[in-house]
Amino acid sequence: MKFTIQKSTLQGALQQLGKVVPSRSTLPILSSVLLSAKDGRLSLRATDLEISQIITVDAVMSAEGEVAVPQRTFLEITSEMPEGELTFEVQKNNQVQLTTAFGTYSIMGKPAAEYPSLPSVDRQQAVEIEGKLLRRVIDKTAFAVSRDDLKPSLMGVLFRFQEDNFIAVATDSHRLVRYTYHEPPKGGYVGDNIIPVKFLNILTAYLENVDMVTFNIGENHIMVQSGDTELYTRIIEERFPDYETVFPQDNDKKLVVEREEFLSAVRRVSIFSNRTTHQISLKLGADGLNLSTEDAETVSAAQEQVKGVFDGEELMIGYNANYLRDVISHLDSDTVKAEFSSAVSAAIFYSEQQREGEELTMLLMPIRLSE
Amino acid sequence: MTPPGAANPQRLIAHIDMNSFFVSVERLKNPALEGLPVVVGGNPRGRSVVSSASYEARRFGIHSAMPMSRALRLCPQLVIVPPGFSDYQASHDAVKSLLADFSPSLEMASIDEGYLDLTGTAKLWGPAAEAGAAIRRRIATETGLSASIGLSTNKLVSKVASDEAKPVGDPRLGDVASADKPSRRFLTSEGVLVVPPGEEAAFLAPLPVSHLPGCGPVTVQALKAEGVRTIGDLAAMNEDRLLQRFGDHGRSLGQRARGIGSTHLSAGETRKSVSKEQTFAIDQTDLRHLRSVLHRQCEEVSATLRRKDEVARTVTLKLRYPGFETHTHSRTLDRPSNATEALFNAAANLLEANLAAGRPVRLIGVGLSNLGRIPLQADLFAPAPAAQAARREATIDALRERFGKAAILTGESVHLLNRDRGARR
Repeated sequence: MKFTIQKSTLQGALQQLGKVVPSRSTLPILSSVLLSAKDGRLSLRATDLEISQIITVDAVMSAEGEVAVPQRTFLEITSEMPEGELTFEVQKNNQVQLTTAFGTYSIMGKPAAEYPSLPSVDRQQAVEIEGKLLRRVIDKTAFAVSRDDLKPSLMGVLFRFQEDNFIAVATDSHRLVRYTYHEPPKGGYVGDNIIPVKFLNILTAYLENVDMVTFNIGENHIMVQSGDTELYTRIIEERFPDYETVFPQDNDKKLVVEREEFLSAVRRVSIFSNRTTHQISLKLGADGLNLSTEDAETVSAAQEQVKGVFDGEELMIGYNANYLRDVISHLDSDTVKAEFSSAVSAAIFYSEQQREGEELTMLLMPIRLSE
Repeated sequence: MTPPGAANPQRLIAHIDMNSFFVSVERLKNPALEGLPVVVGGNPRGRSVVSSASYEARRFGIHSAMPMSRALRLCPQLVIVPPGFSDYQASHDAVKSLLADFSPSLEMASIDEGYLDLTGTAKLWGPAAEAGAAIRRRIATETGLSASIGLSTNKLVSKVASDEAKPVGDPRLGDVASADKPSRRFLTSEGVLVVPPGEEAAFLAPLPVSHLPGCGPVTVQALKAEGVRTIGDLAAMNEDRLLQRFGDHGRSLGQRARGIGSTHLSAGETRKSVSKEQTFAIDQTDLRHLRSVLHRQCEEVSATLRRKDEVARTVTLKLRYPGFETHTHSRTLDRPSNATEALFNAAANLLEANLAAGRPVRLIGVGLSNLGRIPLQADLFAPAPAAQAARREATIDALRERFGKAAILTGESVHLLNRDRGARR
């Protein structure tokens, strides 16, 4: 295997693949990228067994072949090279030699046969989504996904393609986001898929200037193609919790408040909250809301009054400040509406002015205030 | 409500760190050890490790927690002294009681280090540099031991400062002189380093991230991949990126890198983590047995938390293989817990994910950290607390309290009992 390639082309591909390469893994080969030179094209592939990415780039081929090369070392040396061409050649025993105008570098590669094979996306159905819409969906939901691998069903965003609309839901069981788009994506596909958040975070970088994205949905995997890049992900085969039933129906205490003011007050007050619980208290009353926190451990405390309109019986409710901040910062109108019922039940948060064609609603569970 | 700290914003916290504490105590007992490469630790033929190494020994690359056999290979003329813990405890008590003379607010963080809140003591002991020198002198004259002292506005910066105040080695032996250290300008006298208010971040900035408490090898490696080498690089790192990369830990990393730290001293012995580990006489390959041992360990550490009404957010599994290769694997729970099963599930998952099948294990252990009070974060899908499980564990705890550990066993650990009995027969 031998080819010549522009340094910047190679570097760009290796950088992108770095997001897929797992930082730690029990399978050492996953720290490598697989290079395949075939039919005058060079493709580079990375996988963490859940997500795979292939990038195809231009290179001048001298001999076809395949080899796996450690991604980090390969990227490091490529990044340090000056602009220009470099030649990549596989010698005996998968020894890889890189040659530039300045010198030669040698890395030990691994046989391509050891590299995991690409998932096949069987019996696929296609769904077309606008790039801009998908970016927005990921931006609004991904933050609420659980990082706890003891709850695998919550480690992705539920994409629910229905006949007359499209819904995306994410939750870590303390907060929940539901994004509804009142138009079904093109393709006529109907079905639910839990898509790993890591895949969505990688995908979102490719959506910047893309009009339409096609999701090729198979039995166990989804493949998305964008230009010279193909991204694959395993679908999370778990039951997503029944999120509709947890939406409260009778939250009669209503707050309307300026979003920016609310958010910056939460940010300031939370600095003084306990580092483990991040607990802050909201006192809701006729004047709006009063935020406060106290931490016995560091002997710190803070309180702020935020103007707002509150309609209902007075209420004192506690939250994890990080969760509250996440929720407010992902709403996007100037004013936020929140509806409460009691100090131990879920509150609903939403933008006062929803964007046309969509509905974005968030739920947040409180921290029961300690005595 | 007035923030309690507001009336007195400027704090002065000293961190006192004893230099090669165990070795120094041994040298007091036996002055012939002076100038020799000495370590304190157990029998080199067994599986013991270095507990403390003299600066002469460190020049050979020996450090604490290194297997004794390896230390001996690095330095065949090494002098190994068996530990005399009662002597160390006596010296610890002596240091503690003299520190208490400087301020009533004292926290001994371990046997060889402690924090002292010197806020408002300028009239008694002079400015920070003088107070630090006085403490150091008094430790030397009364106990014959040497200490390094860091002073600043918080515990974190003072801890790093005392580390920077440590002797690098002996210049006569050709070691790097401390003159090369970037922190040199903060050194006010031998072994005393003062970081004035407002200069915390500037002091930390040039130091490698590995010097920052809470930045273990894994974090350091991950930061390196982000191009972060010094604490200054870390302080300059985008908060969103840190959060994305390390979660909540990232937020606190960023704050610490900017020199923000706690000033709260707790008088009692503070517990930052609870752990339990076991070294096997014969390396183990049986996964079922490893799981059972792990389960028993989880029962013990979680019961400790339950007694204190605490919960842990992080579960760490420690595995040691033959050849002393030691790995720790951690998982941060979404919901802090003190329930045996939740903690065991996390630990067992770590075991299954990280132990290559059939690989012999020399030591297994579990640690719980990120401790806090019981959180009352409600759950959307399980609003009622898992009362039944909690009641069951309370009952088990009570039974064991009265009748001993073996009074009641869980399925996971029953076969350990049979095994133990078998061994006794």
